[in-house]
Amino acid sequence: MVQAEEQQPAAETPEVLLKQMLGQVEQYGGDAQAIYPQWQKLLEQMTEALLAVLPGVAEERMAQVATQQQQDAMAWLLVRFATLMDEFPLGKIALNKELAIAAYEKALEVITQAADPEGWALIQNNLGNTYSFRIRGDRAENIEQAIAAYQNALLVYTQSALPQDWAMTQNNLGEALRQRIRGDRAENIELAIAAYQNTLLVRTQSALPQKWAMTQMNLGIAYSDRIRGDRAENIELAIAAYQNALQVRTQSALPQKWSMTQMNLGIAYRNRIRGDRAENIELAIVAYQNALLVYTQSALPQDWAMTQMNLGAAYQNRIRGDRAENIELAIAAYQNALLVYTQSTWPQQWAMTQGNLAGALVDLSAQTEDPSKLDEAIDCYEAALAVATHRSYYSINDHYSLGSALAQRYEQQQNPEDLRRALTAYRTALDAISPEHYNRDRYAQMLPQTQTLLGSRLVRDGQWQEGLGLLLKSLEQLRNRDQSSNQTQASSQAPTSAQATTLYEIGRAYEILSDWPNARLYYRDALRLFEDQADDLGTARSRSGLGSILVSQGFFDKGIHHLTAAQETFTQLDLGEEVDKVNKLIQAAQAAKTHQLAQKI
Amino acid sequence: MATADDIFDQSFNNLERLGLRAIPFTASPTNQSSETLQQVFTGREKDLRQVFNQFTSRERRRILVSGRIGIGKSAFLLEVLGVLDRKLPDLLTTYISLPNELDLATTALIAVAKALPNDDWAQQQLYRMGIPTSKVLKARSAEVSGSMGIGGKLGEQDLPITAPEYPAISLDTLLERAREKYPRGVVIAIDDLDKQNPSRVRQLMHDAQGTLKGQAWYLLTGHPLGMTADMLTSERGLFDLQLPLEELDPPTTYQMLINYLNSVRINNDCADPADPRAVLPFTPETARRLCEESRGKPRLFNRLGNAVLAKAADLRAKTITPDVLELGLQASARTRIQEAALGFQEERLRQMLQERGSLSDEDITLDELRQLGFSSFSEVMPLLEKLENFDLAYQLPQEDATTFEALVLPPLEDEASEA
Repeated sequence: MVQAEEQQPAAETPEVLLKQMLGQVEQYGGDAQAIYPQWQKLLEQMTEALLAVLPGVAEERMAQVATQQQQDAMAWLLVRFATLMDEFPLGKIALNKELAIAAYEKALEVITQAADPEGWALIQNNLGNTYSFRIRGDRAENIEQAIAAYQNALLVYTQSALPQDWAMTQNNLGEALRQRIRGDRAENIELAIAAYQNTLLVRTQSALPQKWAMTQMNLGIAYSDRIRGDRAENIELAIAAYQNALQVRTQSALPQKWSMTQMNLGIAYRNRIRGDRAENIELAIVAYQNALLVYTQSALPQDWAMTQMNLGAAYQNRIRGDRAENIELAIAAYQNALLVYTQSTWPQQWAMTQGNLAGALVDLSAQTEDPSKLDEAIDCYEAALAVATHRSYYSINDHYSLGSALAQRYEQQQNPEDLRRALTAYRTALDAISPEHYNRDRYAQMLPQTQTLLGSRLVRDGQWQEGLGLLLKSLEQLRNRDQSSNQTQASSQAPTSAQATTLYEIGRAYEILSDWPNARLYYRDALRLFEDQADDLGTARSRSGLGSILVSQGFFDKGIHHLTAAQETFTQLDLGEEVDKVNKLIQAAQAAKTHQLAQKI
Repeated sequence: MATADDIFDQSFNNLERLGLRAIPFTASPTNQSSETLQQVFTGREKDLRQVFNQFTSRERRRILVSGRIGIGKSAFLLEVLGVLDRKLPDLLTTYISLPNELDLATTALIAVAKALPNDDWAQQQLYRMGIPTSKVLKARSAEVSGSMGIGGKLGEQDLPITAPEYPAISLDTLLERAREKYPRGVVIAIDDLDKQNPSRVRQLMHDAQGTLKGQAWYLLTGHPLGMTADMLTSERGLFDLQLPLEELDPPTTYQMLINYLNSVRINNDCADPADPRAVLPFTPETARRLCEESRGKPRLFNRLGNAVLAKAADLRAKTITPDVLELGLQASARTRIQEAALGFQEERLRQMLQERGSLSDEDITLDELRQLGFSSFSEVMPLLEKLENFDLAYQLPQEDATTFEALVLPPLEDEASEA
């Protein structure tokens, strides 16, 4: 206790504390190495109250000085304080950023564009950086503020007058534009690329190799994210930019930056469209393994875990080598990542890794035909979903994948409860996904399909009320979807196939319920669609159902006509069991017909 | 210039010219008094016999009257209830049209409670559901004058019906109370199940199995397609009798016309079909045409009869000649199309049906369905049923296919050419 008091002289009030901190900045001339240890001792006192008193303290100090020169000096002290605070890695980072912004803004009251254009531009550039990484407030708005500040800086920093500052702010502006939330994303990325390319006009490899390499890396990321242009070409450009960066960022000279670039390069290879896909995945694996030479679990645990995640994904998609072995390697990598990403410390990353692990377990289960892996996968998805941010991309994706895993388990184990849960999972994914998302169609398709599967299963299990309800509901969804897709697409082939199946299943449901008029109606609807799609199996099944209904109603000739046609197709398709079934129906129908004729005579 | 009073008198004079006090035809039998219904109800002897046979037993039964829309299910139900009322005074008969959003037990509870205006507990049930009754109003005005000042205002609000928490138990209690006064039991007739969505009806029936097997007699009307066949079979034991009503044959329809006209005729009670006076102001020829046009469907018969008499009165005719009949039929067609307020797809369907004469799930092509904007016949069914509801189409009694025929409409002439 006594020792602590000695180390940490207590400041009476926040005002006193702030003045003390400003005094330290003044005393050590803005030297972070000297100042940060002092501030570290004050951590417990660095509270929100500092933010409240900062404007007052700044004004009080300004009022105490007489000349413009002294006022300028005071303002620059605030700028140094802000810059140090912005980069202070301890305490409450969110609060640090707020203090930095407040101090910059106070300084800007004295240092104006008219009085000191270069100084003003420097502060604008720094303010932009702080807004870019601000934690509080609306992220979209913060990025707008950052862009505005950089654009202010560029009013003064021109390429001809101050080329290096211009290049720096162009690079920063590029980063803000790349991350911009408002406006058109495609347009923003184009603007970011243009800003990086501006930067590279000044930052050449020979003159400023490290900065050149940094901008090359940023440019690579922007090309990876690019929406416009040819995706394959963009990935090539990204790879070229990363490789440029690696000419300077070598393992020996800049090991951490080398690793970071290796990781980005790995991601680009994994997404590469051109070249041989198998080869690209090998290159990605090499790049991730390179990154891991520097990113070790003990030294850089987070980077290590992130690279393990990526490595796992690469192994999961690997084409070369033994498939089961690759999946095992993927699982091992994900499990490595989970050593760092624990549920309590990194819940989101933990959930994301659980989701990836689950995907690998699903693959392994299919590969090894080991049903227990599917059970494990389902548990992983559920664990991930318990913590994943609702409506986030990962949550949506995991719900969809969980649905798919449950549907697979249903195929193996025939437990309708799995289908029911699959349906809930699909429904959750579909409710959360944005209407514009490219995956939405795929999700939208799974919902009625699973509903149809579950509906027909329930009908067969005797839960006809619920089963038929589900079937009719999926038919309605399919019809709505087909109608909207007909408006946008020339071809409606794909969607109507699901519709035909659902119509057929409704026919079957009504048949099981001995509701012949409805069974007949739906079988005929299914038949028309299957015939249109030249789906022989569907056509034959619908005819078989329709024939059996007509025979049950006593319309023997019509019934036998459909049954015979079904029998021919089943024979062509070599479906012995179906042929036998239909043959029995035909024989029974012919016997009944003869009996009826005999009675008439 | 004629005053409104003059015009009123003229309208009645015009009808009197036809020898009638009023136009007897109504679109819905619920608008008729029990006496009028007794007078005009015709035919269905076999069906009535089957139903009344059920009542010779003291055991409570459940009867489903099924048939297409407009076939006369409600009239049949009301006629059965009228007869039971007259013949079995120790049996309580109740009638209700199935309200939206209510289950069968609550519906039955409302029907029985309304039929027991002097039973305080029954009225209390209605009062709780926000259904005002004369009894409750009286009780409340007494409260206002007494010490309880808050009683008076509740009934004035148009409160939504709050279904009781345990309707089946409340219904049982009410049925027990009713038995004290009506030892033979209670008949609960629930009409218009076919006006609800078929899947909802299925759910309702599914949920009401306990209620239906309880202490009352049930008479229900519904659409045969609205219920899956397993409900109708005795396997589930839901109904003791399922009675499908068919179209009336031409002689019965002709007799029905005579009965309708007789109920409002001024100076003539001839009811002999062989005597031409029996169908005045129709001629036997136009009477037969009207019956033919109505295809044995009572609701269409009423719609056409109503339009023809109104047109004849307008034209100040004394007799309904073939020309007058034609104009009346045209007016009815126009009214039906107007009342249907068809949407774009429905109108396209009506036109296709009109061109082809009939549409069937058996031979309609995918191209034709696509022309209508659909890909399956089951999707077109609700539209066809709407057309049927407005007597613009009708479903053939065919078992191997679902076929709708256009009700052939006389060519529509402009108002101008008509004048």
